[in-house]
Amino acid sequence: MLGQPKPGETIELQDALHMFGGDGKTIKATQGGKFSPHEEIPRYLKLHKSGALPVDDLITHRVRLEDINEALDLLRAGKAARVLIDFSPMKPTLLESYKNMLLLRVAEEELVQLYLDKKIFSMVHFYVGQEAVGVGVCSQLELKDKVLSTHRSHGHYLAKGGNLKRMVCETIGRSNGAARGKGGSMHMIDKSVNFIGSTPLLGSAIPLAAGVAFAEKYNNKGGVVVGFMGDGASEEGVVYETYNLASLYELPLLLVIENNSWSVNSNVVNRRGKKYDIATIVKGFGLPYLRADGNDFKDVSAKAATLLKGIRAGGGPAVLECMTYRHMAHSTPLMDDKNNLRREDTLDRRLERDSLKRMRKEVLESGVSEEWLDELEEKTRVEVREAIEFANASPYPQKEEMFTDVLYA
Amino acid sequence: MPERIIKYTDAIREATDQVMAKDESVYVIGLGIPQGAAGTTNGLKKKYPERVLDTPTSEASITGLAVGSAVAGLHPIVHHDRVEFSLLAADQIFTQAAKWNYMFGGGGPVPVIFRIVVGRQWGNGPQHSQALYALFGSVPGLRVVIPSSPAMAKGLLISAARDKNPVVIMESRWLYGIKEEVPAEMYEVPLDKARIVQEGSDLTVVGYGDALYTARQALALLGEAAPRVELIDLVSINPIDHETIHASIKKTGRLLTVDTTNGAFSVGSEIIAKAAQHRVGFVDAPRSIAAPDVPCPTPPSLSEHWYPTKVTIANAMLEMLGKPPVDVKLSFEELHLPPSTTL
Repeated sequence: MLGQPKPGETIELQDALHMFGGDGKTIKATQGGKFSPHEEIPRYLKLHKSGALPVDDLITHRVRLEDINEALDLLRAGKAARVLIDFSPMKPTLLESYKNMLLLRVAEEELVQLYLDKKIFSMVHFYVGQEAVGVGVCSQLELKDKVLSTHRSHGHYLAKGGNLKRMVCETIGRSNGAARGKGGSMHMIDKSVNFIGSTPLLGSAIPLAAGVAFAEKYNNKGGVVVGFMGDGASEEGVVYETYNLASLYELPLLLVIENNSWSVNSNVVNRRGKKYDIATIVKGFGLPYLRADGNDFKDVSAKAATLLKGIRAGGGPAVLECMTYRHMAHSTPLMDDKNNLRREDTLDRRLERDSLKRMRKEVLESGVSEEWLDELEEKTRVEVREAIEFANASPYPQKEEMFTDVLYA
Repeated sequence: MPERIIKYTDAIREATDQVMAKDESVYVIGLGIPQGAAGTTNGLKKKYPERVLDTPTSEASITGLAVGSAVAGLHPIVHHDRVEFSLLAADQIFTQAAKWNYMFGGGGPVPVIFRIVVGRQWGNGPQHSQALYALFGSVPGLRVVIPSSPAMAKGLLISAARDKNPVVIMESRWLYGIKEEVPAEMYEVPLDKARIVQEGSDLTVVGYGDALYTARQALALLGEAAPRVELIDLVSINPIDHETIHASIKKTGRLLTVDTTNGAFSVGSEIIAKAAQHRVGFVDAPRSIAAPDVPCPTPPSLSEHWYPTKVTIANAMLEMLGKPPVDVKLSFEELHLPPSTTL
């Protein structure tokens, strides 16, 4: 017999005298005590690892820190054996999200320099301008939630908590990279933070994200999956298919359309019929749809939170469209007003809509000083430059690695 | 041990049932799968209601969903009833599943099985009877196998369900009705090894899928008069087991390849090219038999000239050994109706 009775509980043992009457059998109550942490904890860990001590099986409930009173009620009612308190899902503060957006921006500004110095031999699609979308959505995710992304992946990767050094190493093709240097800028992955991968074929990541969500539901893991795509990708047939498929299987999936109005160099007005209305389309598939100002962190995070709440409650997939602005050309760090691709696009207009500038204003209004923010930017730049130094000193993949990983070994 | 003679489709169904019973991560997805998919999934929906899924008519997204779920640790079996439909999901098969582990520098297993039905069926014509073997064989990152018999179909599916990579199983619809003794228990067949069906000293014949079947029928047709052929079932076209083929040619000095699809860029061409480059010691020029490089026509009066038959193959074998051809007229049934032979 093993267990912990609730207070006041009695145990009835039929035929106890008969069962324990001879052979030195006894009944003994035990309790904790006489514990030497530096010896016992490693021993228990070892036993757990070997499978001899399956304490996971004792966990009957998992609750978030803010719901700790519910956990205590469960214990009092004798309904729980062990309740695991999950500390991870604390939502980041506004300042933390600003720091995250700043990291995305500074990291890319430094990558621009590397690109111009011809140190990057990988297609690079810069995320500058769209930071509020990635950070806004990811600020509402828990560690267990999963993200899939596109060719414009650095932002989503860092917003989900991906490792900065591994991102820079991957972009310049070093073996310390996220994909051991074999993928390049478009192929970010960090399984430790549930960044499942990024894949640049337009719309391809969307059914893949549905598949990850399918597995999440199949295995009852309780996480939500986010698939990011641009407005160009959102026009791919497979995306329309996935709205229906995800709805049919009621998947825990949030699809985020980052509408920067450009598919490479084609403007959205030249790509869609006059009456095209994505809201009507998505709603026609039976999915909840919200549109956010993608340059406003607060609007993105609030609307993501609303949709995620419904998804977590088992309401099935939803779509969030974020109207945002891509500062640079489709690929490469060029400004399009300089190469005549987007003539109406000027530095003034970019800054007017800049999500980071807007976020900085919000943070200042919350009481942080200009000096402190300047210092933060400086510190962030140092951190990024250190990552670049680390990357520059990292080895290239060896020739033999061309032949590895074709199949999973 | 009682004999268990079962059909190709039953062998697939049995293998699917057994891997599903053994491994909870396996599920089956495809249009019409709960209704049986030509007998290959009969009754599975009842046994595993949550793991046998009907789908929208949306090949790209259901294939992508399967690939994504494989990345996340499940082991889907995706069914495409015709290779032409699988092309709507080409991005997910060739560019996502096949590249995933490589492009992420060992990003992890993608254990997905694509069961793709290919080839011959009467009256199906240019858009419903392609095989496109070479297309699938040419993409690194996929394993591609072609079962030539019921026992092979079962063993290869079980191996695929235990593999960590995307495995394309190209099932020849023409063979769905053939029968063979198939062990009841679970067993594996290697996914990357050719199989010597019959040893011989004078001529190496390489086939796969329904081509291998037809080559066997050619040998049966010739009976005692058949040349001493070493018959190789290629089993896998990605990778191709050149080693086994070259070892055989070293012994026989002669090579005949058989494809039941267009000859241009065919599996046979690939085999002959590699053998030539390796100077394996031909005593005579190698030869390939394949369909002409035109689309497969629909009417029987044309399609009977499109597919290589057991007579074409038998006469090629004889000619390569300097023997006179046989003159056999095939019946309409033999030419146009799928076989129900017991191997």
